[in-house]
Amino acid sequence: MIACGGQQGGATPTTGSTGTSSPSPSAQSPSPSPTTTASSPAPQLKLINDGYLTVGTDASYPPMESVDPKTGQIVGADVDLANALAKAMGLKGAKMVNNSFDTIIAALQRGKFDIIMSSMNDTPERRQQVDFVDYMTASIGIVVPSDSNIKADSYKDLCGYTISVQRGTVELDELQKVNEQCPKKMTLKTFTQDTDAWQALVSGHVDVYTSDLPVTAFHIKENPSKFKLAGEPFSAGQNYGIAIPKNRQDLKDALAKALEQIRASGEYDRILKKWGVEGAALKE
Amino acid sequence: MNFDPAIFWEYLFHPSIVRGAELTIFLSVVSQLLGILLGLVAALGRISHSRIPVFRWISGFYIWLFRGTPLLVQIIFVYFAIPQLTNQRVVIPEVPSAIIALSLNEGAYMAEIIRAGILSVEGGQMEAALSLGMTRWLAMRRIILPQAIRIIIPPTGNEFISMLKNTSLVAVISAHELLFATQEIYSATFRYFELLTIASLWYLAMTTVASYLQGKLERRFERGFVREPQAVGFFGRMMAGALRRG
Repeated sequence: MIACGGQQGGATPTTGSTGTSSPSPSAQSPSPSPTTTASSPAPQLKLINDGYLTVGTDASYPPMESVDPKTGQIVGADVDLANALAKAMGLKGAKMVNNSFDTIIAALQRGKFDIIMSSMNDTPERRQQVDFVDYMTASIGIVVPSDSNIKADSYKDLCGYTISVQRGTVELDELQKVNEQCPKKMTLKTFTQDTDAWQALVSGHVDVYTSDLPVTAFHIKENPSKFKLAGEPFSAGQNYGIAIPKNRQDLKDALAKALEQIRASGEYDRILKKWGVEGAALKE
Repeated sequence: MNFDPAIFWEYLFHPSIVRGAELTIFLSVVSQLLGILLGLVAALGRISHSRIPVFRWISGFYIWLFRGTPLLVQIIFVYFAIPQLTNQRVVIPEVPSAIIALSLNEGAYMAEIIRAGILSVEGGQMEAALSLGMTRWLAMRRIILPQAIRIIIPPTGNEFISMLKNTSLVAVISAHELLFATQEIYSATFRYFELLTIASLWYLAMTTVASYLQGKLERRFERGFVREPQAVGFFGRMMAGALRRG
């Protein structure tokens, strides 16, 4: 059961809207302006922090989102994209909230943030809990130590090995599915934080680590000549999506429009390039 | 109320939950026993009268270090920090890491409990034993410790109940105990309430059994312990009352 993506004109009145103009159905800014200072007068959206987009993310995922040890701030491609989208929506910016990945959807539903931008794949299972606005493509990488003999272009080649992966991810789902067909079973070690899964490879607890391609590329780059990809990256099959609570058509439309705007203005490509993930840009 | 009984009953006795509970019990029992042994050695070291203060220092340091740092830090240290320290020469898998951290931590607390038990036995006992020609060690083994056990059991029972719950911390190093099994299921199904209720019920069941066993153990060691001479018969009790008031 896949929640439908496309929409039609009915404006969902925002719950408890604070008195000002009610949002009119398709009254949002018509054409994306080519300048980078985009700011369409957004209808009053109900947000947790007025004037800001509050964004949940699991900052254990460089270069998409991680904590800068020097400043303690969350930085990454998702952070810059969130800020760009917020500004395109006429807001002051985005506030990032760190939340571990395996409870992040529950936290969204509890109202801890407005949206999730955390390199989250748009999957049918997750669509039962949230709505998505897709914003990047996703591929999977498999990392092994440089001196390893393991060659793998897909998870099918990993039978019998010990693998570390973050909990709650599509990688884990896919590994479990493939493992059922494995004659010699994989040993899966799962961790709440992706950085712990990475550390398990570094410490020698596992033979293989797998995660989204940008993250694997980042770790390999940070540890020159110690690690390598075990084969070609392969598509995850689903794009990264911004997760929005259900029944927030207003927020979804605002984000979709903002995304079109920053793609048209070149801001989107600029941000992806800055973080080295331009290969994951949406194609159409 | 958003509660799905179907999910609850489906997972209450799910194999991964049961296996998780088994590992929890295994880790608790083994770590508690090792902790008691370590604690005994450390306690004796702490009260050591030997002319070389080495034992007192080592025990004191051990207790200070392992009571003074969080158990979670100790667990992560053994699993992630030791490989880094030794350049991946010493890599300790999940279950041994868990047992090492849990035992070392427990030993520090048991040391103080055992020491309290030993101190509670009146000094006259040791004097009497020594004057009979026993060595300190023989006196400790045959006279002091057996009496100390009565005092040691209730706090130790407490410690074991804590231990059962502390094992949930090793979920962070991917040891497949009860909480880990619970987390795996709720991450995939998003049914936090049902799954955490299941986990809580299992922990309650285990701690309740532990409390019951502690009670039995206490009663077993109560035997032969005389509180005060009991006067027999009506006349005797009257006399005892008069003597006490006088």
